[in-house]
Amino acid sequence: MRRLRIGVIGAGTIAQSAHLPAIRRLADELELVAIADVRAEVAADAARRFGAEAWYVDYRELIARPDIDLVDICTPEFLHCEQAVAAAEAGKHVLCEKPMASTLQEADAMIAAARRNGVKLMIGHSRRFTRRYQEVARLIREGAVGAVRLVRENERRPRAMYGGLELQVSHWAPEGGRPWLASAAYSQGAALTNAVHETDLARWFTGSEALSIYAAARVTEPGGEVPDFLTYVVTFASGAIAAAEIVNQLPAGYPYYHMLEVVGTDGMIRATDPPMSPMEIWRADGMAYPLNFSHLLHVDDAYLQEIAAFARCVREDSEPPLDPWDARQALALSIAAVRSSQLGQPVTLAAVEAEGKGLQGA
Amino acid sequence: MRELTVGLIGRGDALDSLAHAARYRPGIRLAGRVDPGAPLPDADRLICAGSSSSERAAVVALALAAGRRIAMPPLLALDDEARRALASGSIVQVSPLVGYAPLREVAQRVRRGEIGRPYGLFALHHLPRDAAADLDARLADLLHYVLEVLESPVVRVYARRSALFGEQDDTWHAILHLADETLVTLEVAACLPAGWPEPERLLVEVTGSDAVLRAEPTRQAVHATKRDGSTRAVPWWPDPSAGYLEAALARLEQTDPPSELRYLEVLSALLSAATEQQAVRLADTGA
Ligand SMILES: NC(=O)c1ccc[n+]([C@@H]2O[C@H](COP(=O)([O-])OP(=O)(O)OC[C@H]3O[C@@H](n4cnc5c(N)ncnc54)[C@H](O)[C@@H]3O)[C@@H](O)[C@H]2O)c1
Repeated sequence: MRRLRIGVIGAGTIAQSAHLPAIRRLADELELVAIADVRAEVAADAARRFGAEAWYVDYRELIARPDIDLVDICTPEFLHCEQAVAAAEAGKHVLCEKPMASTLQEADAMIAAARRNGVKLMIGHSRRFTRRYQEVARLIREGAVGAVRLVRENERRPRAMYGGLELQVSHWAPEGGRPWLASAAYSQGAALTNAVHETDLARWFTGSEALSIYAAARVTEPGGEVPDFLTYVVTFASGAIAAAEIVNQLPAGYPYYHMLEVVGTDGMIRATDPPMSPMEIWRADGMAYPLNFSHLLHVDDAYLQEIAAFARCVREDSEPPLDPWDARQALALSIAAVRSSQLGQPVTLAAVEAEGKGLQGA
Repeated sequence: MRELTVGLIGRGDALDSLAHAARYRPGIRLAGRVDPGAPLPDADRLICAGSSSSERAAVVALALAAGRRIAMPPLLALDDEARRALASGSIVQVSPLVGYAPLREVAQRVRRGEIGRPYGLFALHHLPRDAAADLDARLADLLHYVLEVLESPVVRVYARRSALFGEQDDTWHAILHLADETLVTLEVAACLPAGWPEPERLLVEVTGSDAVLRAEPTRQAVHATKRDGSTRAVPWWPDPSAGYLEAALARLEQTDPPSELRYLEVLSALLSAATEQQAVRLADTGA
């Protein structure tokens, strides 16, 4: 079997904590050829540690290489469209991190570019490749709980989320300012940063399209610019409801935590970190969760499965397991959450689509 | 010193539990227990168990007519009678949820400022499907408890009341915006399917800059897996009636009980938000 040749664009936190280690483990199938990152030292260091033969500061040099079959885009979402479209135009298959893009127009442009150039496009909604959620989806598919009527998924993160991991890279801070994730110029906050997982799971589990959402968001960090707290209720065409509460800036020591409950007409599934963490230590100064970071869903095999699945569909010329349309619809719901939280009223998905077409907004 | 006499109003299991708690509470004597429609017992203190919506409605009229003060779970009616009963102090409200020690503890610690700046309060009460008839009563209990935990005025609410599992409404979702930016998320659902091992699930989590408090009083259960593979959780959590009784007695002692109009304003806003399917801004009433 010829190994597929892969280039990684963006060698920051998610690339170094999940994608590059997974690619290394998939060495039988994939050959890491090059890494591109605007931070030269990050690109060079990652190339050295993960064994890429070349590194670039300009991603266009990477995609110009004729010997690369597919690219894996791990940059901030406002760059996804430009980079994915350029890669598709260069004939590369594209695996791209979530959220798919910053706007629906960008998402549509990515889908169109992939179609036009006959390349595969898959958005890395890693939870679709996480055992916990795959098991839940399987049970639903098998009819174990009847029709899904209520999905509740809460997500909680300690302030120093990557605290337990010896990462050799920090988030990109454009122009030496605050990290892009914390900057209103680059990020729309929790609705896209993590809630796009929840909006995707809700669509996946209900098997239905969202009609409307009410969301409330706030900035909890003093001096913060982007919402780091989000709570919402979504109504689906099937009549089902999905709700989530996402809190990203909890005191250190609080475990990375997910609580999922799916209630159907005939049964109920709970998939929650039980009760909080796989290990707890009590000391004079209180309780600690030493394996806190192990709860990060991406340190299990999710990214290996994700990248392997994409490589397989490139090799076999089959459809990616996750249609980019699903990622686009999850993004639409997350954007609707942003709009609703700004307006203080429920927002329909139809209004968000109309806004994208330049018609009157919500 | 003469023992304080206590009269109880209510029906069914809730009344039985409350009577049991009263019987073994030193310093008080149970003077009688009556159905919500019946004449009030002659007692120093009157407490209503009122777990169902209909019992609560009946007791308001009783209190006003008799000119007596009654401690009872939060009201569901928003009519003039309810307002008068609360404004005059004829009714003092006590959420049955304060009967749970972990929830009292959360309330005290939050009020002492232990969580730092509050971020949010998430509360979930999942009940068996046949509990849908008293869905509003469960929401009222939770709402009243939450408003005791967080003192900041409520400025906007969103709510949905839906029938997800049958013909009857069985689920409440509510989001409350407080003036200090705290976001409250409530989910009350008669959703537990037949055969689900737990009899109910109650979870309250308050997040803040310095600490997170999490209480799950209904986790105290014996889990037994039977020969047929089915699992049951048999509760051994302390009966909350004793805590409810204590709180009711304390509330009845207060000469100047806190205004309950805030609760009524918020409940009223939740009901209209659910009807209109819009977020509702609260008038600047200090609610
Ligand atoms: N699937 C998941 O669960 C998950 C988890 C974390 C992050 N993500 C997603 O991954 C993406 C990256 O997030 P992150 O946390 O790794 O951010 P990061 O800041 O840690 O990494 C982004 C990297 O992109 C580089 N970069 C910036 N502009 C570039 C350009 N024009 N060309 C090439 N490189 C450029 C930066 O230097 C940085 O190294 C985001 O879209 C994020 O939402 C997904």
